[in-house]
Amino acid sequence: MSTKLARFAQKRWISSTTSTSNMYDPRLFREPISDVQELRKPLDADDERNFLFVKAMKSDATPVFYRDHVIDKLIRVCTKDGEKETSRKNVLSALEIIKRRQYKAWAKATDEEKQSIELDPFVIARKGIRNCHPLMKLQGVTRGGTTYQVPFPIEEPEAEFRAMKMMRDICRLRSKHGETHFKDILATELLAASQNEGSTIQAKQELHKTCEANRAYAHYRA
Amino acid sequence: MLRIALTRSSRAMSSTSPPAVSESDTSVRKIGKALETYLKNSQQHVAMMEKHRADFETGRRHLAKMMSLDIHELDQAAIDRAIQYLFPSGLTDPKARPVMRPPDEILPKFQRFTFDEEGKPEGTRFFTLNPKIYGLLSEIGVKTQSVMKFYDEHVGSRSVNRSDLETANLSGSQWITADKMKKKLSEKFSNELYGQVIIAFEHLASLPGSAIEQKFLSEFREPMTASTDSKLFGLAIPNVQTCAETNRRYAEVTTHCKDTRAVVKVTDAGKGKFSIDGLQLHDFRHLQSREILLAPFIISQTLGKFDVTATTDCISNSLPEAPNREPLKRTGGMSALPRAVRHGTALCIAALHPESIEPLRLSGLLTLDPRKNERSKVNQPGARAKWIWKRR
Amino acid sequence: MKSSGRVIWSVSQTVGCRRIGIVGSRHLSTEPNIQKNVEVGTLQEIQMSVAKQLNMKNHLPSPMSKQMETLGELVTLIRDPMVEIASCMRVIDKKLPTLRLVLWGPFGTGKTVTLNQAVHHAYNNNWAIVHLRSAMELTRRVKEIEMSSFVSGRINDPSNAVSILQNFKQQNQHIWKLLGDLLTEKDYEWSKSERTMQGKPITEIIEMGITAPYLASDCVGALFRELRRHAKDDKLKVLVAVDDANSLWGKTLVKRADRTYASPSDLTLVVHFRRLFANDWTNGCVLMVADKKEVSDARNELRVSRYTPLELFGEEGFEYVEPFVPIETTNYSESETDKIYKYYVNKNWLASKAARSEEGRKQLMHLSAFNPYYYERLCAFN
Repeated sequence: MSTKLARFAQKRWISSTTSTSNMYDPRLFREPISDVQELRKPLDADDERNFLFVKAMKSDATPVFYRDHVIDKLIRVCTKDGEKETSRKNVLSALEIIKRRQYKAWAKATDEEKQSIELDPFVIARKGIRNCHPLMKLQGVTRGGTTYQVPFPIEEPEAEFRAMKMMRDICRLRSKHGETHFKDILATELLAASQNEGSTIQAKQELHKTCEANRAYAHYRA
Repeated sequence: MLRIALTRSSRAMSSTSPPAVSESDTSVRKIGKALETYLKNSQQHVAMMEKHRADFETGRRHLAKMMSLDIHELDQAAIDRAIQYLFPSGLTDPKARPVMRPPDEILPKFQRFTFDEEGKPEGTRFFTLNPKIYGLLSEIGVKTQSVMKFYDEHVGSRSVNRSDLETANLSGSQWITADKMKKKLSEKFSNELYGQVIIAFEHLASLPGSAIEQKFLSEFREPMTASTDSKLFGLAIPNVQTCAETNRRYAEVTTHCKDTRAVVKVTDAGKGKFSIDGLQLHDFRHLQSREILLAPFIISQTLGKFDVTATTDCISNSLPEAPNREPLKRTGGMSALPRAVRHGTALCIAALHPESIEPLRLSGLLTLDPRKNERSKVNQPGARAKWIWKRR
Repeated sequence: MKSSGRVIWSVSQTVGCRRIGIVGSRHLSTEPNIQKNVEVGTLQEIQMSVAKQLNMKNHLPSPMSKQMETLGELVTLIRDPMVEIASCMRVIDKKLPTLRLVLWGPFGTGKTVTLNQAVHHAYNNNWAIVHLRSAMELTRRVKEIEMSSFVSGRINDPSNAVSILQNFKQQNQHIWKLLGDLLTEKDYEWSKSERTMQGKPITEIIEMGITAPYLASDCVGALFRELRRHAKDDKLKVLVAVDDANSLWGKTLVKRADRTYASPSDLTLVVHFRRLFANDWTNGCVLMVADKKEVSDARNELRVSRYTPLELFGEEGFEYVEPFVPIETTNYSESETDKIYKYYVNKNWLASKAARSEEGRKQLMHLSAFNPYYYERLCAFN
């Protein structure tokens, strides 16, 4: 009985959502342009945005020079209980810590080594998250009472989210008892991930191993 | 217009024997049934309309007498005012309030059909009950075929304009809504049928070569943002004024965001000073607040060129029911207040610095954010949150 | 290396194929004996050894001390308030009563940093330094208390007293010999067994306090008394630098035996510092900082606190501290921001390319609202 219901829900014959009305009428509004360079270019004559309204700019999307999509997304993912300011403080402090560590190493290094040390924390964080992108995800598919973990392909945005979520959960576990702060652990993780080391990379590799092991279930992918 | 040709001539032409008279009699009656019903309805309608028109005239005279106006002065606007005075209504929907109009405007129209001499309706679609929309569908079908044929014949040939071989340009417009289509065809039909019509239209518009049917398609399209002339949602760009004493240009505007109302004044030839409720920019401790406040300047590349003065208050505190509630002590803090000021600043900069109107519009700074706090519902802790669900 | 006055160094950066030479000027404080002209708008470098002796790491605000640690040098901008303080300090004379200066200003404009610069200036000119990191430590971060045996009803704070004495010892190493030559005025009976005789060097009081915490609070009082006396006799000049000074008249978290909160006047250390602020002695300079930490709610992130001296000291405090010279600290001007920006770029501290562009420079300036604290925070993660 429950499987039938589950199949029903899967095929979405029964609607389970409450009101999903948008204050912005989707026929009349389009997304704003967030990149400053693109804003300067004139629009095509028959671009629909010439005739449509544009949605209001989001609070955290001001096109400041340090606006970075990966860092903003990481801030959102690490937010807890709606306290985005705390999350922003943590993530930006983590970036600062990365920069300080790299700077100290750079100051000590010889002239040849100096070239290879990256000081920009944004670049390091991006590289770290990039290295943690999983290539597949495991989704539970129920067949005949048993739920099998089936490997599925994954899109870029979802892979990015999963990488950030893995990193966030690991950092939260480690900072649970309050000795080390979340920002320090996040900084360590990002630095390590940019070198393809660290617990998040390990977790990603284990995920890949499980996907490889469950390769046989791939035909459940229907 | 109604021609009821009795079938003496047809009877004469038939080769049937006299006993077939009764048959043809019945067959005439059968054809005439549709016609009969139609005639009856039509007569009823005519009679009803006559009665209503007479009633309306009488009503007009009475009304003129009541309002001590001359009957010739009583045009429709005067009637509306009189009805509003005599029957004051507290109903919020304007369409639900009492109205007095000539019956031709209010009462449903009667569909007129043409019938041929045998009493058969002209046009086979009478019996579909939605002749006009099925007619439209047929027309779209025929045009689809012709467009495909046109394209197949003329693709690659030089005798035809290149522009004719492209798909129709329908940007900036949208299909007319079901209501508008009903008015246009003066016929009622179901929403499923409307959906089918749109599907057919979309298919036609997507074909290469449909540019030749541009005119036909445009008849059923209306421009987007048709209700407003401007491309801005919310307030319009204010006018630039000049301060008499200092001779500096400035623009002033009142906007709101969530529950915060802000009166913002941006002055030209400034140094980038802020004075929001007496606070300066460095009094906004959160980085995000300062980012929001400076966003219009960053986009229009006018950092440090204008001065901003703003005062804010709570909209809820100024509503009529506010005295019965505890007043809200402060307006939106970290995000809503700066957003309200940002909207005002952007509009004023658009007035003082017109080159930046397009970048400001496309980045979304000139749009009034329509989002408000969602109300909390009964039996729930908040707007969306639910109590912890227990299975039993 | 003996150098006097300015050392000019030039750093050239290759941008693309052009060479841009940037000339900056810094003071290297290598000659402590000359009352130097402190110039406005220069970046002053304080040697790490000096900074260590003056315990700058604890006394500077935490972002600044982190910066000191990372960059390996302590470089601050000399601004107008510092120049005013320096000129006031030049005027100090044994005939004039102590000059009281109050540093005030909105949040993040350099009150504590200017205070530390003044301490460094005093160090350069061989003054005695009494530097308290924060008066709030005396009123709110009291770990253990003891009832005073000297005056009944007073509350002693052993750990804070010991740290004050240790700090004094560390910061005044440059005049330790001189202090050793100054002698006590009278017999000090600390308790039944310990006493310091008259005519002993006052450094003994300090040693006594450090070794015996339960006597430390009284030792502090005695030390201050001796300092005031010797300053009057023109043996030395004293700079009293107290951060968050308005807390001496503020709220306490010290609970008495009957579970009520003590007022600041009941704490011995507070009383000693208040006596230092009195202008009945000469040849000294009292530098106070009026900070909003005392009155602001740490959990309210939106409220803007008051920052004027009258509102921060309160009626009682203001009356006590009057008359004083108010020195206001303000936000950066554009040229000052530029100097800091160039310094960061030179040190390779601004790491991202966008931050080093012209647009980045302008946005950094405005986004920080020209506030020094916010500017430093913005530059920290870029």
